[in-house]
Order: sequence, then structure tokens, then C-alpha cells
Amino acid sequence: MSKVDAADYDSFWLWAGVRPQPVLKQARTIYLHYAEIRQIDPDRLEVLRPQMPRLQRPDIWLVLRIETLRFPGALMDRVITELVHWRDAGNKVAGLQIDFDARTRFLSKYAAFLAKIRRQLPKDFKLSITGLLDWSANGDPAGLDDLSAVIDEVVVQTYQGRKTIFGYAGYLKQLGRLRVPFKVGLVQGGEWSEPPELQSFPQFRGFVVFLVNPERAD
Amino acid sequence: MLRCLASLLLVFGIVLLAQPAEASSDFSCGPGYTLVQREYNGCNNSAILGPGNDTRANLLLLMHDAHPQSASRYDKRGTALFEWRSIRSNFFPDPDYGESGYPYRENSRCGSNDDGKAAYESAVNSAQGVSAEEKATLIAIPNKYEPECAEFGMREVAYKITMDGINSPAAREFAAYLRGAFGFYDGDFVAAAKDFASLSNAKNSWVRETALYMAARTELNRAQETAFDEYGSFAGAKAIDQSIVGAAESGFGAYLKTYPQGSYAASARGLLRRVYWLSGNMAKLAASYRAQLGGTGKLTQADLAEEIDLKLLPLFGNGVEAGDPVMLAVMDLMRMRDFGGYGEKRITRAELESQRAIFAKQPELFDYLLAAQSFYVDGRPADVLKIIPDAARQSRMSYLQFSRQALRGLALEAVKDSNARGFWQQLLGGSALPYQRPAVELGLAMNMERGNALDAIFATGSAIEDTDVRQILLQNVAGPELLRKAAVDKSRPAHEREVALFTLLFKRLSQGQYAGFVEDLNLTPAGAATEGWFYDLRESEKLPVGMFKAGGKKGEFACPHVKDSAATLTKAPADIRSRLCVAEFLRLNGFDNSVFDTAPEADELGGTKSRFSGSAMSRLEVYKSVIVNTKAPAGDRAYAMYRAVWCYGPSGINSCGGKGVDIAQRKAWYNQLKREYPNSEWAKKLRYFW
Repeated sequence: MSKVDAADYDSFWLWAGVRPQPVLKQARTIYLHYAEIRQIDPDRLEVLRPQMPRLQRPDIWLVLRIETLRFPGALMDRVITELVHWRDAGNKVAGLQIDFDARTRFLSKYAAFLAKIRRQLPKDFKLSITGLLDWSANGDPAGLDDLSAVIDEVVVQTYQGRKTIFGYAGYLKQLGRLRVPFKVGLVQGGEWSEPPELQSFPQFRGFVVFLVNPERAD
Repeated sequence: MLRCLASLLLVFGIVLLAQPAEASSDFSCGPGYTLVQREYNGCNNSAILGPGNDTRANLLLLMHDAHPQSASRYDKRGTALFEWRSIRSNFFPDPDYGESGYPYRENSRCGSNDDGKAAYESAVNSAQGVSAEEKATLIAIPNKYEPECAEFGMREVAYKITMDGINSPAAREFAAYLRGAFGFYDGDFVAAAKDFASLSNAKNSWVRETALYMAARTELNRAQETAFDEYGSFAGAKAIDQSIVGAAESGFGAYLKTYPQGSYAASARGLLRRVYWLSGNMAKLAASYRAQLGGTGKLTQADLAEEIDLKLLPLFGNGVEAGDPVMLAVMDLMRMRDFGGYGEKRITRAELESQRAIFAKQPELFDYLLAAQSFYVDGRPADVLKIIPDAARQSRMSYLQFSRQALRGLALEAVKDSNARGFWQQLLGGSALPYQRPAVELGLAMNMERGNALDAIFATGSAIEDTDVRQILLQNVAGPELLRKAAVDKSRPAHEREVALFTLLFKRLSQGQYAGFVEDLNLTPAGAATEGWFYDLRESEKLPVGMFKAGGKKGEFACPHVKDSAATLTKAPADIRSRLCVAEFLRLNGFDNSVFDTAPEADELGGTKSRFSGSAMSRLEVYKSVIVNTKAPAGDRAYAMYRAVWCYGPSGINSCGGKGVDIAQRKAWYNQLKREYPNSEWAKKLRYFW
């Protein structure tokens, strides 16, 4: 069992509070954590990235983390405005990624929410979501299909915090059920052994590594 | 940053504690329910100052002690454990922003345009020496201009516009101000600075004051231009031109000297803190926070706690001294966290001792830190009892006083002192501030749960009123008699009755207490919900307690009402069809891998052995027993094989409980079904094994 070495990959999440690492220079895709909408404060867009990026080479996704599906439409307008600003400033903005831990049983409801976002989002921005391992195994087919219809990709997360989820291999086997392009999300430094069948799934599009600050050793 | 993550396989989750939860919230953050919190996860704050608390919560509690706020209209009682955002909005509720959402915050200079515009218009309208036409012109221009903050070249356009029809000296002052403002929002700071500087002797008082303030803001923004890296992250003080920051500092200083109560004084003070942060001048930053803590500022304590947490605390230890006992205490508590091997060095007794002089005016706080260090880091609870004398009997306690006594309580528990229960009971009397009483109730309830006094917790007149505490116990450890009582206790909230009844009926059925199950169906209140989710009993708005009496969902396998199956099983416990049908009820109504399959840890509330002491039905075991019974009716036996294989579908993971079998066995069942009952609908339907 080996650990995820970010240098072996070219797509990364850069979360608020995580200090940029040199490995980002080789990135072809960066998912940048921009803001959050929190359950207890659903009227507020909590912007966590103080300044917009200025990058020429990689594709950038603006990541919005949400804890609830119920928030004022004006907040999404602001996110979209920011997307446009990023692009106007010269960044190669691929689109918006929504990071939301949707319960496997509520996939259809989540799909309806995403359909609304898709309609609001300008056509030249793609829509990506993060996904839970559980969906592929236990998500009902109708819900998964509803999701597939509105999003351009899902990045399935194999980790919680700094740790790879135990038993991930069993779930990844089921990713063939996903009918939408997907990537597999790994955590930097987490345990990981690539299941052999992964590369054979036609919808598999590669890996994204969640960068973490180095642990302080004293 | 805080990241409470949804649990994946577990569905036992705890969401918001202070505000009424909305139905089906998808976000869960699950603290273990205990007062001893050694790690930080964002959801486990309590009224006890400690390492498990968010630094902001600890700050807020200590600030509140120094300057008590009136606890708001929301919730004076609070809960035992809570998130930072709960206590924040409890003490400082946000107004309702409606559909438009929270107004743009000043994180970027673009956010401040709306307020500025209103003030500008008012100043123009009341200005002396400006003609009516000029006023109209001056007001029209900004209305045409919505700064996108990304367009360049607006300044030239604005310049042309403003000069037309602006002739009087007084009007020209406003025009120059406008040029500066456009330059500011444009990002053309050098030009904006010139415009504002030219107004330092302006005749109009509003223009003069605003220009002085804006000049400083311009320098600040100019300094920030290089402060962020290509990812938009803050690159640190070293990335900033300190001479420009110095100019900003002088500018704000000049403003505050001239206009100490000016319109922009609060903003200037806030921005000065940003200047100190940008320039890496932590001594000045800490000093300004101390001044705010002293109550001279306009920030709410909650905002202050957040700002200190974000800006100042991360920098301590890197050559920056806190100097202030409150901030130092909060840092010390953070360093008592149990990082479980991430390499952070926890604070030692010796290091704390070296800080004694800083706490000269706050000996009780200092002693508390020593005691906390003994408890959380050195694992010497007996030391707590030596350091902190018993003062449980008070009529009212600050959060520090409360923490001192509560820590004593935890130490008494740790050394298994027989007086612990009495101590908690005494502490109840003085627990008047928000979040204090529920914490004591949690401590007391855990003691009683472990001390054979579970029933007393639910007796009339019990001191344990917190419904979360009671619901956790009902769900996890209460036996049938207690649940029956709690299911009909009208003195308790309806939801608590629902939790009791739902738990009772499920466990009766699942553990094979069929006679009790049938009888207890009669406790179902009229109008009870028959559908709904129960991932987290405490959080679901309306538990479907009516599901059992109504019969639940029907599947393709023919079954009578579940109560009939149960009734049959009281007389004939081996009845095959009835056992399969009880299994069907559990399967169809969401009881596979349900919240009842998990239990709290042994050192958490509800972590003792359940008084509902049977073992839960495993569908897999039921199917196995039917399969090996060659005399079982064909339809039942075929279905049992079908279902047994499906226990492992579609993920290859067993969702039916019991003793798992390997894939060879699942394959064998699959083949057996096809071989022995080839014409059954189940054999025809079963296309895979997993």
C-alpha cells in the first residue's frame, strides 16, 4: 500500500487555508476553493479566497462548497459574476464545481437543484460536482441518471479529512454504473492502491489530488 | 479551515443544535456526546473552556466574562455541545437579509460602493456654492457607473464627463473627488492618490474628510496589489512593499487624529488592523485587539473573536508574543489538543509556569490552565482537584468559574470519586448562563447512566431536562419499560416521545419481542406520520412512528400486515413466512444499516450496555435458516435464496447483518435457486450474484 504523492499527478484541489505547493506549477487543472455557503448562515456567501487567481496555463475550476441547498438566488449570481471576473482577468476558467455532501438517497433532489444551477450558469462554463463513494454502490439508478443529465463531471472522493476511506476498492468497482465522466479524488499523503479495473471504465477521466498542508513536526 | 465531513457509511449524525433544524439537512457533523473533548472538530464546543472548543468560542466565552452581553432572543438555555456559528448567532443574531442575501462585505474595495454613493449624494445636495445644474450633473455620473472593478480605462471616460458643465470651485472639488473614486475602483491607485491628496485643503468639509480617509485606503489597496499570489492566496508580509504600507498607516493615523469621531473612524481603525497585519507588525496588531477587548471598539465580540482567530492567533509562536492573558490562554488551550500523532507538540506544565507573570492579574485563569493541562495533556486528573478548590455551590458563575468547577467534575469522574454525582447536582444551581446548564446535565446524565440510575433520569422532577441528552439515552440504552413511559410522557416535547416510541417499536420487532410489539402499537398517536426519513432520530422533523401501525411499504413478496406476522410469531416462533415478512418490513422501510446499527463509544453518553438486551434480527440469518430447511415451502425457500444473494448486491457488501458469507456461498445460493426452483419468479428475476 503506498501513499499518494502529489508529484505523480497533474490535477489538484487547492483549498482555502492550504498553502500553495510547488507541485501546482505542473498542474493542468486546479480546483480552487473560493467560497462557502453554510447551513447556519445560508444568507451569506463566505468568501475564503481573498483575491482572484492569475494563472495562464492550467484550467481552473471555481469551487463553491455548500452545506445546504436552500439559499438566496442572489448568492449564485455573485458566484457567477466572480467566474466571469476570473475569466476576464485572463484565467482559463473551465467552470464551477459544487462541493456538497448529498445523501445517497436524495440524489434526485440534488439533481433538481443542479439543474437550476445549470440553467443559470453561462453556457461556456461547465458544471462539476464532488461525489461520495457511496453513490455508485447504493445510489438508485434513476437518481444517478438525473444527475448525469445536468453535470459535466463528478469527482468521486475517496477520503475524509486526511485519510483514505477504508474499503474504497469495493466502491470503486461500481463506478462503472456512472454514466457521466468521472474523476477519482485522492488525498495527498493518503493510502492508495489503484484498482486494476479503474482505467478500463470508459468514463474515467483521471485523478484529482486534494493538497494538504505539511504536518508540523517539532 | 473547519471541515465537518459527512459520514459515509454511518448515518448517525448530529446537525444543528441551537436552531430549529430544517427537514432533510444533508450536512452532518457528529461530536461524540461527552464533556471530555480532546480534539477539535468544529461541532463539539461547550461552555467549558477547553481544547475541544474552537478558539473563537473560547475567546468569546472569556470576552463575555469581561463584558457580559445580554443573551439574545434565540435561546438562553443552549445545548451541551454546539458549533461556533450557533453561539455566535445566539449572542449576536444576524438580521434577516431576505432574498437579496447578506450585503457585500468589504473583502474587496468593490463592496463598499453602495454606502459611499448615498453619502456622496447627500453631501452634493447640501453643498454650498454649487448650482442646481451642477448638482444634477454631479449626481448623475456615479449612477451611470457601476464599478465592475475589472474594466480599465473608465477613468478617462469619467474625466471627460465630469468636466462638462462643472465650473464653480465648489463643484470642481466634488469632481476631483469623483475622479479619485473612479480611479480607486478602477485600480489606478497612483492617480487616485493624487486626486485625493489635492483635496487635503478642500473647502467642503465632507470632501475634505472623505478624501483624507480615501487617501489612506488607496495606499492600503496599492500595498495589497502584490500581496496575493497567483492562486489568490495571501503571500505574506514579505510580498508587500512596506513603504507603501507605512504610508497607509500614516494616512489612517492622520485621519484619526483629525477626525477621532469621524464618519469613517471605525472603518479606519479596522483598516489599521489590516495594515498591521500586512506589515507583519504583530505587536501593534495585538495591542489594537487588546484595546478592542477592553471594550472600546465597535466590533461585536463575535466579530472580534473571528478576526483575532483568523489574523493574529496563527502567528503566535513565530516570534510574536501574545502579551495579553486572554489571547494567550486561548492559544494555550489550543495547544492542549490531542492531535493523535500529527506531530504538534502539546504544551507542557513547565512552559505554562513560564507564563505566570503574564497572568499576574488573572490568577484564577492561570490556575485553570494549569489544571486543564494536567487533565488533558499529562493525564493527571487528581492534580485538578488539588489546584481548583470546590466552589460548586454558587448562585451564578462566569464561564471561567463554571469551567473551573466543571473540570473538577470531570476530574472527580476520572478518579471515580463517589461524590461526583452530588457535585454535578450542586453545580446545577449556579449554571445560569447560556450553555452551562445543559453541559452539567450531560455530565450528570453520564454519571447516572453508569451508576444504575438510568430510570431516575426520566423520573418526574428529574434535573435532566435537555432533550438531546434524553433522546440519546432513549435511542441507545433505554429498555422497553422506560421507552413505554417516555413514549406517552406529555410533559416532554413531542419529538422526544416520538424518539421513544419509534425506538421501542423497532427494537421490539427487531429483537423478537413480538407480543410486546403488538401491544405497544396501541401507543401510536393519532395522526402520526407514516413516512419519513430517520437517518438521525434527533434531527428528523417528524419521525414516522405511525409506520409500524400502518404497515409500512409493501414489496413483491406477499405479506400480511406486519402486526399479523408478529402475532403469528408469538404463538409459532418458527413460522417461516412470518419471519420472512418481518425481514421484509425491515428491508422495505429503511432499517438496513440504519442508525440503530451504531452505538456511541463506551466513554460517551449512551455508550453503556443497552437495557434493551436482545439481539437484533439479521435478515441474512433468517434467510440462511430457511434455506437449510429443506421442508420449507417452495415459495418461501426460493425467496430466501433470492434475498440472501441480494444481501450482497449491488456493492458486494453485506447489508443484512449477521455472519457474513464468502462469494462462493453467494454463488452457491444463486446456482441453487436456479437449479431447485427454476420456474419461480425469483429464479427468473435473479440475474447476478455479488
